[in-house]
Amino acid sequence: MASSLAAAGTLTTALAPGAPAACERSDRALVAAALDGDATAIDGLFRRHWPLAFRVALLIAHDHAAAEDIAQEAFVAAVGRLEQFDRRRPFGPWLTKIAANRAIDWTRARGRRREVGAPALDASAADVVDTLSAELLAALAALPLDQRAVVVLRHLLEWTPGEIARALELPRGTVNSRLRRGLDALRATLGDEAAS
Amino acid sequence: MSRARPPREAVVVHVASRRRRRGVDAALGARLRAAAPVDPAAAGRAHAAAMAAYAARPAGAATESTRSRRRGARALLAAVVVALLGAIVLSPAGARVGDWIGRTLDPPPTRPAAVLPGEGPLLISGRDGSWTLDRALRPARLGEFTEAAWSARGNYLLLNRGDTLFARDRDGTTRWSLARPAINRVAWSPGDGYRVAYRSGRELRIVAGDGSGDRLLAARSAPVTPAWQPGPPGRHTLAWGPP
Repeated sequence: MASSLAAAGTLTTALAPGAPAACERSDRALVAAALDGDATAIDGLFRRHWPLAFRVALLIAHDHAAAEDIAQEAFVAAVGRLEQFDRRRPFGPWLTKIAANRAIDWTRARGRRREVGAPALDASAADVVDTLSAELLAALAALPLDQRAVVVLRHLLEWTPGEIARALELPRGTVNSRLRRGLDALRATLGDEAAS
Repeated sequence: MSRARPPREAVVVHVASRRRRRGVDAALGARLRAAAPVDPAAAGRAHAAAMAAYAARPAGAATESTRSRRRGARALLAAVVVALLGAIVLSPAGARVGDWIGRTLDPPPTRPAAVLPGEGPLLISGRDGSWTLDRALRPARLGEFTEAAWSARGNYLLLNRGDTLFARDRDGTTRWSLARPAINRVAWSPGDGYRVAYRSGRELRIVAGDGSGDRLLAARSAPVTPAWQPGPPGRHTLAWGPP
């Protein structure tokens, strides 16, 4: 099994003659095709939605290696539960909900465990971003987990507070108050222009 | 010159998008995206794992899914027919017929609603913790352990709290514990039960069944549960996912 796209070269997909490209099909059509055994449909769903799941996991967990594991496991879990998926709903938010909840669980578990022989916090993500992004990452990491998660879901994914409340199984008022406190804290750290 | 009206669906989507974006800080969203670039190597590894998981699905999964949907549709149709019949016959004159339908379709239970098919307890784990269920499905909570596993003969339970692995006997006494960061994917060897494999973060590690000799097997491994090959006592062959 190829361990990375970088090692294996450009990823290509084989399409059945006459089949529409995965990028042209809706999520509903891709899920239906995947259930019927079309591997290109899973490829299409992955390319369309995995990057966002990875971003969510990275911004919540603040650990590059953990974010990769979380986002990978979330997609593998979604593939395993495809038969139970309600196709009337969009696939992307379902996947990112799984990734967000797993990232929250991972971060809570990291906060509980004793640091016996624990590896240094992975700083590789900061190596590839600019200074402004590094400041934002640091400010996000300084937020309590509960505030960080809702800020990411609201402003990166543009979920409504109601959708966030359902995904995280919280009262809507709790989501709104965590959003306010999180944005206030970011504003105080980064200045008004960063989080207005 | 008349302008064509947009399709109704497009208007609805546009309004919903405006509602969703109200209150969203677009600049912050752009900065969040820039601060979390996608690593192509990570994407490649995840893609390989996703395609492998899809290929490993049972051969009849897709067909079974279609059959299941058809069964559901037939059940729904049958329920609608029964409801209509019930509405028709349950007049005072038809009450006896209605009673006959009720007794035929929903006979009184002659045995407990559900029991386990075997003697031993059932172990259940999830995000909210772990439980055992006895044969009558009475639960006993084990604690906030997101992962649990029986030993080879069911005499011990392996319980994962995330930062500590516990081995308890059937009386609930902790026989040994092991503290490691981010414990996940535990697997107790069958047969003699003398080995436990688990991941600590991305490391694959092995510890003896009595909690001694904890050691690193691989610095990086895929996030899949390792699997012990069934075999004679004293022989321990482990399958695990490469990174």
